[in-house]
Amino acid sequence: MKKINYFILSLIVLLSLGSCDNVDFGDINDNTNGATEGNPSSLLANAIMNYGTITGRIYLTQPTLYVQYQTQVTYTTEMRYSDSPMTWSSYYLGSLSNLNEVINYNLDPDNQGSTLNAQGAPENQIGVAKIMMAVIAKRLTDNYGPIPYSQAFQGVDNLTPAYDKQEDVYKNLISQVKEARDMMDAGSKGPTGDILFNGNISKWQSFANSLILQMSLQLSNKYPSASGYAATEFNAALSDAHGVIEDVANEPWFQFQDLEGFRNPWLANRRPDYYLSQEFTDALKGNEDLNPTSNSTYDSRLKVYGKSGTADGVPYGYSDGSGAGKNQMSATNYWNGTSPLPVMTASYTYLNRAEAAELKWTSEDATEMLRMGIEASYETLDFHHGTAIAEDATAYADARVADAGTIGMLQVIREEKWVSLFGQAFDAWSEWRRTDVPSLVPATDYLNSGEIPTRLRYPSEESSLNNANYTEAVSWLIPAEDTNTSLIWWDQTN
Amino acid sequence: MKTKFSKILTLLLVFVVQLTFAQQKSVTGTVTDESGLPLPGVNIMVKGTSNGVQSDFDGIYTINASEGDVLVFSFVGLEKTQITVGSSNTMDVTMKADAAQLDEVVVTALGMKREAKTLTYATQEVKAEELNVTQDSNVKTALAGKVAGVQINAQSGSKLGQAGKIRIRGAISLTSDNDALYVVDGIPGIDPNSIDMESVASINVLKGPNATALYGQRADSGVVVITTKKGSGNMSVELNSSMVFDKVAYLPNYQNKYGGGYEGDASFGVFGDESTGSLALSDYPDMWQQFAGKRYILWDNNYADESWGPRIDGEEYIPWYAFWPESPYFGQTTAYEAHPDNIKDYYNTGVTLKNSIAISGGGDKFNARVSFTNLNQEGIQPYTDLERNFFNANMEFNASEKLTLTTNINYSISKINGIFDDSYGNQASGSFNSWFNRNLDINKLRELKNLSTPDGYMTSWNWWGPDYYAAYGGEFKKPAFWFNPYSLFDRYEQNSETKTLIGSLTATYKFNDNWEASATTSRNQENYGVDYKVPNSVAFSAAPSLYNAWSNSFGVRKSETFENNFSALLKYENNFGDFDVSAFVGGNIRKNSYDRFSAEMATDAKSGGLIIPDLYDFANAGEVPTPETYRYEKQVNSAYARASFGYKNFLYLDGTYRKDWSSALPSDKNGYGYPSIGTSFIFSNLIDSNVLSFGKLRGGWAQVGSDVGAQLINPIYPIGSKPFQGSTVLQSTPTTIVDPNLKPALNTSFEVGLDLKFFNNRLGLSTTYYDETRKDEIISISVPRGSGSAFFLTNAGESERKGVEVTLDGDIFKNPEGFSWNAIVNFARNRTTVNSLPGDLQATAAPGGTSAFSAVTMIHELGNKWGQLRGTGLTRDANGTPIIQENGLYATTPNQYLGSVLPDFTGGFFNTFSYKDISLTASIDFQKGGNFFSLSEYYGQYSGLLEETAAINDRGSNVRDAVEDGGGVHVTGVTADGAPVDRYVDAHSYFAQGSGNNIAELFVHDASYVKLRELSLSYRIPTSLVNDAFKSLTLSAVARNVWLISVSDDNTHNWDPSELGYTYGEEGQLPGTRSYGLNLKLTF
Repeated sequence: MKKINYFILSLIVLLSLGSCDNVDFGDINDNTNGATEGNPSSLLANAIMNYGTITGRIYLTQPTLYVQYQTQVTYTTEMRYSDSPMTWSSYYLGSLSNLNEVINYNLDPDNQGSTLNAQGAPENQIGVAKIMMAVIAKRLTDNYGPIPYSQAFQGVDNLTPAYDKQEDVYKNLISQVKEARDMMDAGSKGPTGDILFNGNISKWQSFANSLILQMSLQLSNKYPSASGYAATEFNAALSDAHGVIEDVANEPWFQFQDLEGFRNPWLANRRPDYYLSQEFTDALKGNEDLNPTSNSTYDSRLKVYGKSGTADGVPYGYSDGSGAGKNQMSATNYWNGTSPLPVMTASYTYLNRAEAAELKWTSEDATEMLRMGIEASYETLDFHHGTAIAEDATAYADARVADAGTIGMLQVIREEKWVSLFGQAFDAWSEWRRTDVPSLVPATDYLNSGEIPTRLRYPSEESSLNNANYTEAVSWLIPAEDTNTSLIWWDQTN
Repeated sequence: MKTKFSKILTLLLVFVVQLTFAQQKSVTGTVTDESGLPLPGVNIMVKGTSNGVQSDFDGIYTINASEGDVLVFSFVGLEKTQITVGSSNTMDVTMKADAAQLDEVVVTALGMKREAKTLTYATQEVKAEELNVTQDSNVKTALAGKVAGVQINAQSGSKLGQAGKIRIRGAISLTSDNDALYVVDGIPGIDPNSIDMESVASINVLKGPNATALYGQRADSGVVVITTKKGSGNMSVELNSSMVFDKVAYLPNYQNKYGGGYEGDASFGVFGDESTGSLALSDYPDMWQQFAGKRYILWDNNYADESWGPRIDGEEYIPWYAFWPESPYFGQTTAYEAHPDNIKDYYNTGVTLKNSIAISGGGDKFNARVSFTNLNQEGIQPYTDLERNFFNANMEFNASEKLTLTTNINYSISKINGIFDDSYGNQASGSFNSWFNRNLDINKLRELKNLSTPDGYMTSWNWWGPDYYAAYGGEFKKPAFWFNPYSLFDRYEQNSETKTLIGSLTATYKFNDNWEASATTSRNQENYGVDYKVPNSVAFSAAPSLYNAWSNSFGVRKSETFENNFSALLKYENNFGDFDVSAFVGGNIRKNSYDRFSAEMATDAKSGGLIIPDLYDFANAGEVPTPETYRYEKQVNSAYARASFGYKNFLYLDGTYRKDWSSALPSDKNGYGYPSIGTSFIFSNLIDSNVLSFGKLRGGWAQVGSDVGAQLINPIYPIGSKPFQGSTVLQSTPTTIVDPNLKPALNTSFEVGLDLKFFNNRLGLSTTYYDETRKDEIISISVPRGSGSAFFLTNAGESERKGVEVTLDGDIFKNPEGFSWNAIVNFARNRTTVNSLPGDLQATAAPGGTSAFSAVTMIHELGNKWGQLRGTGLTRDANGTPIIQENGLYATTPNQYLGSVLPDFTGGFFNTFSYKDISLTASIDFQKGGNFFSLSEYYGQYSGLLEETAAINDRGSNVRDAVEDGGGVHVTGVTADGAPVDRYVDAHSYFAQGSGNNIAELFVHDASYVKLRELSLSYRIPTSLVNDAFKSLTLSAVARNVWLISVSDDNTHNWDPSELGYTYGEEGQLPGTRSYGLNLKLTF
């Protein structure tokens, strides 16, 4: 009898084994270690901060070497063009992904209401996010060539986004920036997470136009004609009612704070590994020696850029250089936790206008624009670094205008871009690749095939995780190889 | 708590009282086996009492009993024998082999004790005497080479408290390369470091799903079932004392021809002679005027932490320690000489003292064993030590005929002091193998660790040198990259403490011969805490705007881990004629929780250190760290059942079913079940043979389901550690996308095997073949960042492992009076392949991560072996010839697959030789295949530290000589256009290209090895010599890591592939050691 009872009991347990599919565990698996949903203001702020503070060789120092602002001593592999896969993770994650989410969040009808509006009018949040996306995506495509963009950020719906041709990326970005500029309303509340302009929408709108000038001019080899796509976009932006950046006070600069995560990205790098190159110091001092430019006049901006306004840099491209006593990037104005860094300047805008004028894209006066570009560069360095060099600007500009008479206006404009873009080395690298000005000599002790890099190798995960699309993208390069010397679309001459 | 304690005390008291009473007369005799050989260690009990003894080494026993008492003789593998005490005081007994011969009982899944012969899967048990050969302090290395299919991936012994991990049957999971599940006396999830080897009675390794199905998902890397020693018989006290010395034994081959510097002989200048590159004498401070005309290291060469400096010539020069007025060598030059053993001599001789006491005994009602072990280890790394205390108690109380209560309590405290960073850039081995000067006299560093500069900075071998000091001052008066390691480690404090409490209580109620119910509750708790302090004396000597940033800082981190299990089981056993039935049903509720709290100041912050120096209070922090918390909970409910049927003791059929419900899975589908079935056929029962004493064929099929880690399906939007400008919180999107249709993974395994015993069990052979497939594993696959995330958590892919395991054991000679040799040989071949990946993925990240500078990354490649090393390789033409660039360096191609880390086969050879009272144990283990990457070579070449950077080339010149003078490295290959290249390349350019172009291929080597791991020579002192004052006394000499007998030819620096710090290889790790010691074991 007893035996049977046990048997029945066992049967009940056994049967219960298969019977129920789920157990209710309540909230035991909730993740209490952080936010479970996004906050658009915080996502926007992080997108800007992350982009402004990413650091290291790939994200910060390499282009300063490729355009020979700086040189390396002791540890010289980047200067010598070591050709390894280069990650782009920090552009996509934490910056672009955030901005994409800010846009989607603001577009979602479920999120509309006072809570959202308190973080800025949705159209302004979307506009700012779109302009920032264009800034970051431009750097990505300038670095690598074809990039995943139109199919990006689709999450589970597309885990292997195809690459877009650089031409398509550029055209898309220009149209996105125009759309953003036009949808924003300076009369409505700006985004609270805007740590670049503190919600000032008018500034975003003139920034948008300066950005279009830059992007369209970058395509000058592909669309050289004054009636072509690039010139048309250039002119439309230049004549847009929101204006372009002409005033130093309207420039977007990254602001930093002396706390972990918010510091100027230069500070995280090892300063003794980097010196100004003698090519750069010779150019600014007007010396002949290694000067890759036509300048023969002392340029006071060396006092801002350099630790010293007089000392020489280290010759570029040798594995055994020594930095003892040589000039370095200023520890007050650059290699400093709180020094601001430019995103776009009036100077660059004027110099782009000068070049467009010289290319006959516009009817502006190239000489005047060159002069304004130089003066705005001096002025903004004064403004942001508290140096007193602005008074030297006119004399220097006069000398350069005179140089233009002998060397050629276009070359001087491009040389002046090289000098004024010191704080925007990725832009300087793009300009150099487009124009081949100034005439830089590749490193003597090179590690790659012996040429100045014209792009970065794709991140190593792309060939394994997204192989078909990666292979297609590489086929669009010339030659069709994933190396740091292949040419990307706007750098291709055919 | 107090009442609980007093109950235990009462229990103990009762137990002691039991031991003390009941004596009448003394019965003595000899126990022998059927062949007449004496049997030591036989348990002899007076039936119905707790009175028991063991026979001694000569088989002799003495017990107090009265006439009419029944003596019960028991011994594993022999038939229990009962004899009634008569009038005689002498009773010799012959014990017969057990009829079944192999009623060896092993502990299987869920702590079930089963006769080995009935098992339908492979299991391999290792006994205490085979495990604790050399008084090793951890379970993992003790298993090396002793179980087929177990690969040890130990850590260098210099990393105190780190035991590495083991791999059972290679690996199969795409996402984890986890250590096995450790189960101690039925309590799962134990940190094996908390186990006292002295208390381990045996270890049984359950390898695949067929053996582990009842443990479920947690067992998907295999299970190590540890059984601790229990009390029995008369009270006995065991004392064990050992002392082991560790000495550095395995270092790469360094060059000793060139010293520190960048520029060869031009690194030297003449002090004050401007024509040699020196400053003018007047530019130097007064204290150095006396150096005029002396040889010294110029400018940058002085801060060089590389060895591309001058040829070592024995002539005088000014060493680093002669520059400082407080130095006893101030102003004195010394000979520029080689110090070939400087690295070896940096390390101390490690000393481990281990003392333990165990008291055990028992009777019908109670048995207990209580032990305490203290272990003290001083590390080879200066200023490091480890102290461990283990307390262990096992008690069993037969409360009535039907009710038995068992309890285990295990408490351990482990304290580790000092720094053992084992990764790139660490200040000891990392510096020595990557960034160092070969000409340094390490004894001077040791002697002068407190030497400071006139400004009060710590002095170092690696400083900016007199030229930077004099010309620029400021931070150039400080050390450059590296402190004197003795100065740093003496000052930098790091202390960690781990407390582990494991406890269980089991009640078993036997209703009758057929039915038994039991319930167990167990708790496993670990509290870990670590704190560190960087004192101001270090921060003061740091140069944050140059290379060496250190901050006066401190931090604390604490974590608490719990696991509670509640389980119940109902068992049924019966015979129906020729049929045996045994079955059970049961259930388990497991709750895990983890809670961590930390507040840590960065030790390398360039600002924001402590305001008042050395006041370690967060309120005193210039930049107050944000405290961080992290916690999770997880619960898994399980129900399971097993039924086994036996027919005539030769045919067995087993079936199990388990169902789990996991809180970590999506709430709409969190239950999943999986069965197993197996059979064994003892064919030897049907054969009458003098040769074959036992033969079994077994086979089985099993499945195991797996869930996912707690909270993984609920990723968060991480926020920044502080608000920007005090008001703006930064937040980013989650880096993981979760598949909405996630379901549990399923492993399916098929296993067959054959177990044979020959010649009266003197020779045994066990073979197993397995084929296991893991499908739909929940893995976080890397996805292109363009997706907006880094990872996608999904069911993905299929991996498969197949292999063969063979164990052969034999009593090659067996003569207890003379020479015996027992040998066990293990061999296992495993191949794990990645058969499918989701979508179009050709590869996905493998566990084990990425080396420093991403030189190699662990990747699974579709269709290839598990766990490939991937990194930059040489570009080769169609014939495989390297393509050489115009400058003589290799053309490179990134993302090359450079081979799997898993070996092709592993094995061991365990030998016990004995002659009378002397025995010698030797344990050899080996592996063939597998690959590893060496970062020490990557940088050791770059920095000119390794032998090859100063070797003689095939033209008879040193490679460092100028190419035009016959030097240079011989390079052959082809140009990109296919033209042959045969030339010599400047040594510095050649050896710098590895790290310069991040070429991994040059530093990936075959991980094959043969190693004599353990050696022990014991002498069991005959008790007659000590007038029977003791039951036994054994003295042993032990040695560990004795001899790396052989490694692959391409492993020119003799890295020990069984002691690699990372899955992908080594990263400037602490060196391997060889250990010698003595052990004394005393029982009375």
